[in-house]
Amino acid sequence: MGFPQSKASKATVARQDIWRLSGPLESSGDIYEGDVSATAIAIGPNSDISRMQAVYLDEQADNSTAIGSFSVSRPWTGRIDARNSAQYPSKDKALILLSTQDLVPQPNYRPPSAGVDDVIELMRPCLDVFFYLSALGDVNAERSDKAHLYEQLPDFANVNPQWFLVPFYGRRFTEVTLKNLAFVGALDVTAELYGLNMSNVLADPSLVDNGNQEILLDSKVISVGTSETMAVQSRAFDYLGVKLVHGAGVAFVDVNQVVTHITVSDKV
Amino acid sequence: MKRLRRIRGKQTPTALKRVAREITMPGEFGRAIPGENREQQKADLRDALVADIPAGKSKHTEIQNYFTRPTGERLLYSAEGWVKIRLTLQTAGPVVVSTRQNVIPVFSGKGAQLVTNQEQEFPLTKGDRLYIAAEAVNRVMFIVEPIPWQEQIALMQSSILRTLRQG
Repeated sequence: MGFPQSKASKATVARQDIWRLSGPLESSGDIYEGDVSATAIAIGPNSDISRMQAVYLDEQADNSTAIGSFSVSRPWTGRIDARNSAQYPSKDKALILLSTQDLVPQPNYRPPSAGVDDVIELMRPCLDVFFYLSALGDVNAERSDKAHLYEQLPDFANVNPQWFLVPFYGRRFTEVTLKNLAFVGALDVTAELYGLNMSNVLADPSLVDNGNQEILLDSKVISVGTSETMAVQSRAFDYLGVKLVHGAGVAFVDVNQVVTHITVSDKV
Repeated sequence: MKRLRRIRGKQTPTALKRVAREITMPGEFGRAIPGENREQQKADLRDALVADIPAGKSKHTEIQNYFTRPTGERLLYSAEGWVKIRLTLQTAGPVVVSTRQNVIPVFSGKGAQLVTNQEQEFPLTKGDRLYIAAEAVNRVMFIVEPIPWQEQIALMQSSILRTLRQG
């Protein structure tokens, strides 16, 4: 989602019951403003982010600001006020400030074990927040399952490994299906699955500790003309990494040679 | 009232008719009010007939959505006749209303706070004003229902009270 953001007051005038804040996150530091009060705030069905926070004016709290967290397992229920006539100590209007508590990777992020020349296809996390303008009864914060289909390799002519990185914040289960299509000259493909956790340092391949990673599945071979499915459950990490190698030092023969289907779910 | 002419302690039919003319008003509200003089009766009837037609904005029922401003206090309605205001806050609030000015700040405890999705009714007398204040843009269902007959009832009540006090 870019700036300027959408406004909750316009949704109110448009007689909507919910103001929806939705779109790809630019960075962990993105802050969005709710200029009207809410009866509840919940993570939306399309969100990759699992944990968020709302900052609001509370004269009895330290620095007159209070922070309330909400997540897929626990939405914020109860009125939270936007105060257009009041100010935070910073002299900004005392609106409701929404931001993510999950760490978002920098655009040039590279997994710790990625080679300098590895090809990285990073999917930006999507934010989806339901800001309830009126009282609607039950507040459901359940996320939908997400499926990512990569029919093309990011840079198939490159001899280096190819990576697909998809958000996995708060998910409990993933299933990865890889199909090695039988093109002339195609070789067996080796796949590895990684669980990646972000850190606040800049993405720099020379750093040893660029976040951390955990190998989930090591060296699964997908023969030419076959497909393999790998599943991982009940593990917690920020991003899922799928690494594909087409023989050591050998480029893939076609941009569509490997079809990668990744499904992530909150349910085990 | 003219003095009745008594004939040996009895009232004559003519005298009775004269008394009846004196104390009976013409028109819809013609029932006599004991003790009232003719001029007062004429004045009451004139006011009642005038009040029978609601004046200004309260001639018909108004239904609309009102959107509060994010800051400051606003005059929501100025009653030119007897009306019943029904307000339903459809968003989170906070919104306060009052018949007195200076209802802000909203969290000061002044005024009546509207509750989300609950209709609240406020009868306003002629000349009353209703002020509204909020901290953010909110949507309020606003219904004004005129009660023109209230004027006549109030006038009759005040006349009866005056008579009772005099008696």
